[in-house]
Amino acid sequence: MPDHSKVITILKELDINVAGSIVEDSGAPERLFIHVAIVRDSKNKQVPSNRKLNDARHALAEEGITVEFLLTDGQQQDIEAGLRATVLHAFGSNVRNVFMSTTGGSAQVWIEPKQMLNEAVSKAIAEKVKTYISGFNTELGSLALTTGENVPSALACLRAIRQLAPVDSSELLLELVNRGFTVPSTDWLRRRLDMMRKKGQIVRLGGNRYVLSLGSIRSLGTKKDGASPDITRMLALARRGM
Amino acid sequence: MEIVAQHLQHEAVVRTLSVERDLFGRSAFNRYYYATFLEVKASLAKLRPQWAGELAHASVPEVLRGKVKKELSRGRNTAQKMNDIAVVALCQKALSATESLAKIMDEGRATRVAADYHPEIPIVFVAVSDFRLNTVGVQTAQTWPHKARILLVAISSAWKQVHA
Repeated sequence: MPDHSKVITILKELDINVAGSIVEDSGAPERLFIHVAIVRDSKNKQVPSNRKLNDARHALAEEGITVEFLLTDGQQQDIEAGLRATVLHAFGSNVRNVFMSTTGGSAQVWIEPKQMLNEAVSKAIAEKVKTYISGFNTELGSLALTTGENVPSALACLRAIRQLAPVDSSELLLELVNRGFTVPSTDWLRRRLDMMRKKGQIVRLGGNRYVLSLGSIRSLGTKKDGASPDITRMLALARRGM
Repeated sequence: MEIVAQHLQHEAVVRTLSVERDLFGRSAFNRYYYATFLEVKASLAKLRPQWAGELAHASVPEVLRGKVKKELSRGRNTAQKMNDIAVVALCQKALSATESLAKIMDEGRATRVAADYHPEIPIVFVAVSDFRLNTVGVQTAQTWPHKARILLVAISSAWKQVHA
């Protein structure tokens, strides 16, 4: 078991103040969890910096001690609480929850809607969030509405076409539904296929059957494992008795 | 599991004996962590069925930062080559969700270890109905399960577009 006071001394030398008690990981006692309270300097930079924390991690590793730093950012927690109150106050009937996380200095805001939101409401929520965040000198990295929206992307369509080609739109629709996607209508899928054809991603053969263009096959690439598209395609062909 | 945690949290607040407040308080942290762990495990098992068996507590952040991130960035690169901007954005969000989720799991696990194995670290009441364990507030612990759910939706929907 590593010596905690030694760890604290090493960290103090690097101006890193430990908050709370150091605990060993239950499964791996040589690994320590260390809470560090983060503050912001006048330029809104994190203190201690990630670089300094990394240096500390290396210094401790040389002593044979593995540490996991858990950063507590009091200011971020305040901003997050305020943001939640603001958004829920204005959009309580549309939004179930809001929270904020930070990675690499910019903030990500996550919004969980109560139901599918129309564009006007989404926009209004985004505006509100931007206005609020900008008041704290914090950069908004991204705003995500986690709708769990589930329509197949162009990429997902291409992957399905690759496996079944040549395939017509009704077979493709069935395949996409089998893969767990929601396809709004046959018309929606036809328009999507048309768009992909105009971009040169797929080619239409006789009988309204589609195959990938050479460019698409090259860009999609392949994988050398059990999920290899070459193998899944062979299996799909075999299932169809070809 | 989450309702059990809420109940324990409530009990910790209404009890009068400090020994009992401590016991219920630390168990609340434990249950909030487990509720979160189970959410994460169930969702990750849907992405890759073989993960269901191998996901021990310690390995969750590791799997997230390793295999999950790797697959998502590979998907993002393919989407980039196909000029599918929507999927690129989806993967980008999922990647940042993965890091946030790994952080929550680290914090949760460290707190759970303190709750279960370190009785010498006490529950500290900072307000009538607010208490902390080793600097982590119960109101933070309370948010772990639903934060995890939101982040998992972001991860799953990107995953589906590049893997289904």
